[in-house]
Amino acid sequence: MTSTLIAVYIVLFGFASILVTCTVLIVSWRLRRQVKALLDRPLRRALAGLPSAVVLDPVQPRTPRGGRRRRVARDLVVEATAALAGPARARAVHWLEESGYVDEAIRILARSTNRSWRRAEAAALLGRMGSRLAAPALAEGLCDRRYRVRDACATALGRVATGLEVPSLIDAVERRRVPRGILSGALLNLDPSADPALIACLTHDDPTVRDLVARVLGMRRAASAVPALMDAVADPDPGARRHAILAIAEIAGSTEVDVDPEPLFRLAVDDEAIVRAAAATGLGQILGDGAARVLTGMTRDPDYWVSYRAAESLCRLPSGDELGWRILCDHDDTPGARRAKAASLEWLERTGGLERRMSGVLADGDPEELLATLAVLAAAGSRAWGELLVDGAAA
Amino acid sequence: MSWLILAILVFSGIVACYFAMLAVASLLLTGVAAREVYDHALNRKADIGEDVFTFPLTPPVSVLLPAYNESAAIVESVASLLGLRYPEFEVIVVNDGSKDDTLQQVVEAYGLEPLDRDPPVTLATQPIRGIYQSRAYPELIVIDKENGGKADSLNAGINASRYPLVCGIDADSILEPDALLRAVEPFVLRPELVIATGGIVRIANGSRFARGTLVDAGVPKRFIPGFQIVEYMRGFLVGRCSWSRLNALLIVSGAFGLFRKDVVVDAGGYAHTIGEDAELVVRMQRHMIEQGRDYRVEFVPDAVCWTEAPESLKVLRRQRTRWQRGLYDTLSRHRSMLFNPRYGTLGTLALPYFLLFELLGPAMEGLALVLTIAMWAGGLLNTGLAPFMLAIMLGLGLVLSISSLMLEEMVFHRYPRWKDVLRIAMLSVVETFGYRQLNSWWRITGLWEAMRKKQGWGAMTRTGAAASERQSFGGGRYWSLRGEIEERLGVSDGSATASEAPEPAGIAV
Repeated sequence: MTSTLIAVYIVLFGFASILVTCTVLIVSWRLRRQVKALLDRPLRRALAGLPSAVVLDPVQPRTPRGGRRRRVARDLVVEATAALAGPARARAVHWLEESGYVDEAIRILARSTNRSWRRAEAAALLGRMGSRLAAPALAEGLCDRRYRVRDACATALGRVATGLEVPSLIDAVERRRVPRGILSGALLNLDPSADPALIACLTHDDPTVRDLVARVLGMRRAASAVPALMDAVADPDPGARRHAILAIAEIAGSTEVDVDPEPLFRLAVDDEAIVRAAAATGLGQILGDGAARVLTGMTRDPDYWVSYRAAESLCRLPSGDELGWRILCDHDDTPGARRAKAASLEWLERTGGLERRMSGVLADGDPEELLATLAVLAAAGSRAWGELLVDGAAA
Repeated sequence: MSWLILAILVFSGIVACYFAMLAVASLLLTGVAAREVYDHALNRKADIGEDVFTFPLTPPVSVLLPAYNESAAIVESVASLLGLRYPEFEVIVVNDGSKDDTLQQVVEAYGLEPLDRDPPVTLATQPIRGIYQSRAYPELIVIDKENGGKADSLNAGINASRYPLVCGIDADSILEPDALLRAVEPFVLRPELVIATGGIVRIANGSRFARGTLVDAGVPKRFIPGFQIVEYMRGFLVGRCSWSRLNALLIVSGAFGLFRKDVVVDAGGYAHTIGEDAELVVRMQRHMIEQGRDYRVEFVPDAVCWTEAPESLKVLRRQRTRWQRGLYDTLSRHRSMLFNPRYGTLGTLALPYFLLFELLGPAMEGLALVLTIAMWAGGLLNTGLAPFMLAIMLGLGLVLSISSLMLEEMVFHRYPRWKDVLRIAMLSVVETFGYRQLNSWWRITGLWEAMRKKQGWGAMTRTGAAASERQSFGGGRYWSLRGEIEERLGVSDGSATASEAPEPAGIAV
């Protein structure tokens, strides 16, 4: 009996200790956060003018002394750097370099005896500081044995790297050292001097690399990449073909591109539906009305999403209202034609083409034409407009 | 008589072993969860995944919002979804033949217009009555279909979705603006592996919202939703985090879950069952294992979805019995996976845990109580051992609750006020005496109902706790043109005007 009671007390004591420990931890964490904020607040207030002094004063201010004061100063300037661009940003970065913050973080990152989270944090800080001096150390960090450090270095490289680090980043893609998602972000953020190195990667042996680089070049709106991307539309890898045409379309959205349409038209009859869907999206953006014939044909594609994308592209063309309406007026009733009509009807509704036509017909005031228009819509399968024809006929 | 005594003693030994196993498993899971949360916090500090918004490989997402009689909260829910911070997404609201004015509310608030669209029927569903779009918000699509249940609505949404990821949301839930970005992060970081992710569900009662966004997180004054805050915290921060780390996550909450559409379709879509969310996740994992493909199902603890918790015992009982029936159904559908090494951690660890401790746990608790009374009546009760066991069980629950609060405070700090944290700590203690036992009783009745094959959800009463003021978000050019044409054709009944849209369900198939 006594031994059981002792056991009960031990158990209760065990739970009570866990509860007390948890409570103490909760309270101490909260207190630590609040005390830190409390101690930082007057310093942040006192140093509030530091970022503008760093950027605007002809002679940059000296680095504040003292552990906490020094850290708060760094945080304030780093926060401001994120919102700056051009020479102002360059001055802020220069101050961070001169003050030794960048070297400190590089030292922490390079010391392999440090805990992985400390190195990862240092890498993230280097990325936020935006100093190009950190790029070699970060590129080296891509080979770290700990995934967290590699991921943090890749993220940071995207914020500081130039074209020189492209081989390290591509190598990391190839060796699957860092998730492609993070690397794609890093490649996207590189400065324009990286374009030639990226374009060269479009002929890389690894299809994963070609696919990724094509996508990234499109998002970077790299006009100089168009010839290489035109070659990539014949890539044996469907992912690379798909991203190549989408990339050309993205570039065409921001600058005039002059391309031979024939290789692009070949994608409209590609074996892979995902490539045809991408072609349907891209052709309209690249060739404008010049793609109308091919897009009209693609609205009959056996794959739903290809037909849907083709209709979307077609209806978004400058003469899209008319082209879409022509598909609705087609008397053909094969499954392909019905698919084309359904997709065109939806996109005429979504782009407002149908409303524009209706407004025009109503403005003309010809009841025959109105009924004929409603008849076309009813025949195309429009529920929303078709029932008006039934009501009108009954009336 | 001696045989009976022996049987009771043997059985009490089994029960004691069972609870010892439960205690060890719970403490181990808490440790694993702590490690997962800590790692997650470190990744955040290292900025990993912080730039997902700008990553070129961030996939577009179709957000599916099934709604049945949700007029109290639907407009606010849609507003919160349209305000999500995400590069490319669409919101598909599926009105599952609501008997109230759910559809009318959305049509009026967002100026919806009918769309003549017949999406491909990849997954079989009830007939679609109409599809609507918003001109003001082109990314908003509303499907009106005949009633077929939540699974049917989600399948209809999947059919109409355009993007490679689908995200199921409950109509009474509010997502934080960056919740989708957080939840999609594993898909971006490990695109070849991740097939599903789930976010954390938090209780909206007691918090303030405006225009579908959280303004102030708080703890409700009422005990019932307060207890649920403790429960959800424990369930998500300890349960989901630990199973996610072990890659054996069985449940991705229906309130906020993100799935790879191709895998969902290959696995056959949502099944018409009570716990369709858990069932789908198990089926997807089973599909991947049987195909010999590597996969991951991950829980993202800082992708936050706020949901309204039941405030009355009656509604709460209905919810809990339903959950238990859902679990029973999922486990019975996939019983061949149980203890089957072919299915790895899922078959040998997660499913047996859920069978032994989640499904049968309340029944074992009840049995232990009956046994204690029987032994006491027969003079066999060891008066020293009984309080010892009781202390272990009550203390364990308390430790788990406090641990989850500790994890919350370690990383997330969602409740800024001291009094809220203290209140949660107090609720963790109070719920141990009474509420947990009541919950166990409901789960026993749920198990009983499941074994008797009782079906159906039961009505959920919403008060629109997360709702703020009603608002209109767009006009309707279609309705004015239609009114004009009706006038010309002499068929006008005066119902179609720009400001007052006609009954949307009137569009016939």
